Amino acid sequence: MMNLKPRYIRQLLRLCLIAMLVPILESCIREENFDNSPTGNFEALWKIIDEQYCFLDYKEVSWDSIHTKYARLITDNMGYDGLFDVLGKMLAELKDGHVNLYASSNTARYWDWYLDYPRNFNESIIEKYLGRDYRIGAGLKYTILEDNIGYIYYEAFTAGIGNGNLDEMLSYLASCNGIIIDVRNNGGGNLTNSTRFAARFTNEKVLTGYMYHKTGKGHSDFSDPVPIYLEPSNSIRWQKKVIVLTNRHSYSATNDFVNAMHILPNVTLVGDKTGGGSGLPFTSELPNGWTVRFSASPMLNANKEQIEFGIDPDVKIDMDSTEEAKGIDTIIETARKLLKIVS
Amino acid sequence: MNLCKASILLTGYLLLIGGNIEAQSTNSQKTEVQSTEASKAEVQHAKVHSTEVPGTETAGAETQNTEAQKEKLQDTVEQSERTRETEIKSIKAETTGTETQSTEAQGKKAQKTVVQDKKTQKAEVKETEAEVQSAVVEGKRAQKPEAQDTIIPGEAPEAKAQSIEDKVMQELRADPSARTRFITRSTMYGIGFSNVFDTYLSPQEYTGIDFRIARESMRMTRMAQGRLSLQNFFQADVSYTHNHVDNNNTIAGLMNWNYGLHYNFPITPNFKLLAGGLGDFNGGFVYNLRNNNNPASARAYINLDASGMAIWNLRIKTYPVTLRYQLNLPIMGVMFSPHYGQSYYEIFTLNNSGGVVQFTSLHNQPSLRQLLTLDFPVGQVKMRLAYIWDAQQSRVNGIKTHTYSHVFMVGFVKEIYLLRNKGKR
Repeated sequence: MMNLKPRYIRQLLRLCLIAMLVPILESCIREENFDNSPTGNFEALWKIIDEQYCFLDYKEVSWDSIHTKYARLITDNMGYDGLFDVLGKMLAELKDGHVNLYASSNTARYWDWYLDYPRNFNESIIEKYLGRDYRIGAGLKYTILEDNIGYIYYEAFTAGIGNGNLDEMLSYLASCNGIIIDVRNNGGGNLTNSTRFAARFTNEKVLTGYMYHKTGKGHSDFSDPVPIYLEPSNSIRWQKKVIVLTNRHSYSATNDFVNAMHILPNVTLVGDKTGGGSGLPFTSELPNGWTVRFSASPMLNANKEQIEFGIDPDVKIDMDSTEEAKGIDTIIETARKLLKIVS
Repeated sequence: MNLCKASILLTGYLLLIGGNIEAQSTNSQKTEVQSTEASKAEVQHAKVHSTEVPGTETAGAETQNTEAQKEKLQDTVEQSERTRETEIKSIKAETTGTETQSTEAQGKKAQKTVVQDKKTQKAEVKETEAEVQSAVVEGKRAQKPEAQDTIIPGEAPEAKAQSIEDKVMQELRADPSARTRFITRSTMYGIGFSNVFDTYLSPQEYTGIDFRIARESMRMTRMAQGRLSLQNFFQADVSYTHNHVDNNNTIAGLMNWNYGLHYNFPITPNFKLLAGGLGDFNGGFVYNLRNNNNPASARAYINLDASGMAIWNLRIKTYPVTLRYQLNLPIMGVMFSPHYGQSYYEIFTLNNSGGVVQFTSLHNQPSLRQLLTLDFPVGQVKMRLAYIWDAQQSRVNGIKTHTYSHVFMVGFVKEIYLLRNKGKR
C-alpha cells in the first residue's frame, strides 16, 4: 500500500466505497405491503395475530384453520361493516378480552369471560355502603363501616393513585379492625398503580410472578421468564387483615393486583374468580387505518402458572339475589364476618 | 426501481464520475508540465513588461528583467557619484580667498546633494530588490499550485488579490502554519419529506413533513503534513407524519452529530476528493399518537462511518461557486432496540435489559447519509443551498425500522480566522 502511487490509492478507495454500497442495493428495509382492500385488510390482520399474539400455543388455537375458515367470508366488494363484522368474529376465536378491533364506527370485543357468569356487583348497593360522606382520594373511594371495618372501592386502575393519597387513606383507616378492598368490576388499567397499591401491604420484598415476551414471529418464540418482585413501600404499610373482593369483571391490571395480594399472608380473596387477562397488550393497525389491540407479553404467577383465565378466590361466594333486592351485598357481608372472626 | 435503490445507484455513478474527472485532470496536468518546460526556454527572451501569461514563465521573465534593471540602476548610481565627486574637486580647484568659504559651502552643499542622491538611489535599489524578491516568490508559487490548493471549501486559489486584505488572506492560506486557523462554518435550515417506519409501532409507513436544522464547521489540521481536514456536523430534525389513510399520526425526532477526519486528495487546483471516517452519534424517538402499551420507540445508536467527499470550485463565467457532495456510510456500531415483543415496562421497570444493545453493521443497519451543497456569494455574504438524502434503516431484534428523508436546506457560510492567543507577555 505504501508503495502505490497516489492515483492508484485513490482508485482503490473509490472501489472500496462502491463495493460497500453493493450490499445496500438489496437492503431497503420495508414490510410486506397489503393493499387497502377487504382481502388485504384480512390478510394484514391475520398476519399481525399470527406473528405477534402470545397465547396461540397456550390456548391451542389453530390459527391457520381460522384463516381458511374466515377467508371464505371475505369478498372484495363487501362493505366496511361487513368486513368489520367478519374480522371481529375472527378475533373472537382467541377468547381474549385484550383483543379488540377499533374502527370509527365500532369496537369489536370478546366479553364472554364475564358476561357468561354472575355479575356479583351492584353499583347502587355500593353507594349505600359508601354513604354520602365517603372520602375520595384520586381513584379511591373509602369509608369506615359501622363495625369499624374500613371499606375501599377502587373502580379502575386507569385512575391514578399517588403515594400521598395512599398515606392519607391508611392514616384515616388506621383505627379500623381490618379493611376491605373492593376491586370488583375493575377492568384494569395501569400496572404501575397496581404495584404501588400492593406495596402498602408487605413488609418485605416478595416474588409475585414472572413476565416474558416474544422474540420472533414463531408461535413458540419466547424469552426466558423474568421474575417480578413486589418491593415494600417506604411509607405507611398496613399491618392488619385485608380482604380483597373480586368478580369475573376483575381483569388485566386488577388481575395483576389480585395475583400480588394473594401471596401476602394477611390477605384473603373473597368473591368470584377474576376474569384473567394476564397478557400485556400491544397495538397495531391495518391498511385501512383500523387499530387492533392484542396480547403480546404474558405474565405468570409466582409458580410460573398461567393466570390468563383468572385467579380463584379463597372464599368463593356469589351475591344472593334475595339479599341484593334488600340492598345487601352478600360478598361485602361475608368479608365483614370474616374480619370480625379474625379480629 | 424504488427510490432507495435509485439513489444508491446514483451514488455509485457519482463516484465513477469522480474517477473520470481525476483521469482527465491527470492528463491536463501532464500537458501543463510540458508547456511550462517549453515556456521556460522562452523566458530568457521574454519582454520586461509581459504580464499576461500566468504561472512559471512570467515570474522567471520578470525576475531576469528586474535583475537587469537593478544592474542598470547601480551603474547609474556609480556614475552619478563619480560625476559629483568630479564636480566637487573642480569647484574646490577654482575657488580662492573669500570665495573659498562659499565654494566650500557650495562644495558641502554639493556633497550633501551627493549624499542625498546616494540615499535616494540606494532606496531605489532596495525597492528594486524588494520587487525582485516578490517576483521570485510569485514565481515559486506558480511552480507549486498545490501550496495554494483549495484547503477549505469555498476558496478559489486562482482569484487575484483585489485588495491588501485579500492579499493577506491569500498569503495566510498559503502559509502551512496559518491555514489551519481558518474555519468554514455554516448554519442551515430546511424543510422536506420524511417516510417513517417502525414495526414495533405499526406495519404501516408514515409519511409527512420534516423540519431540519444543521450546523457544520470544517478546518484543516496539521496532521499528515496538513492533508487532514476536520469536520464537525450536527443536525436535528422533527417530522410529523400520517399513515396512508391519514387517520393517525406519528411524531419523530432525531439529533445526529458527526465528527471526524478526511484525508484530502487534490486532483486539480479546483477539484479534490476527500476520504475518511466519522464518529456518528444519534438519539431520538418515534411516537405513535394512537398506540397503547407500545406508543413510542426510542432511537439511540452510535456508528463509525466511512465518509467520502468531492469538492469542486468552479466559475460560471466569473461567478465563483463551490459544489460539494458527501457520502457517509455507517460501517459498524451499536444500537438500542427492545426485543421483538418486549415492552419498555419490562426493560425499564422490571430492569430486564439483556440484549437490548446490539452490534450493527451493513447487514442489519444498511444506512446512508448524502449531502449535496452549493456555495455561492451574494453581495458580502456567502449562501449555501443543500440537499440531504438521509436513509436510516435497521433490522435488529426482529424489529424493522427506516426513516427516509429528503430535505432541502438553505443557509449561510462564514469563514473565520482564529487569532493566536497573545495573553503571554
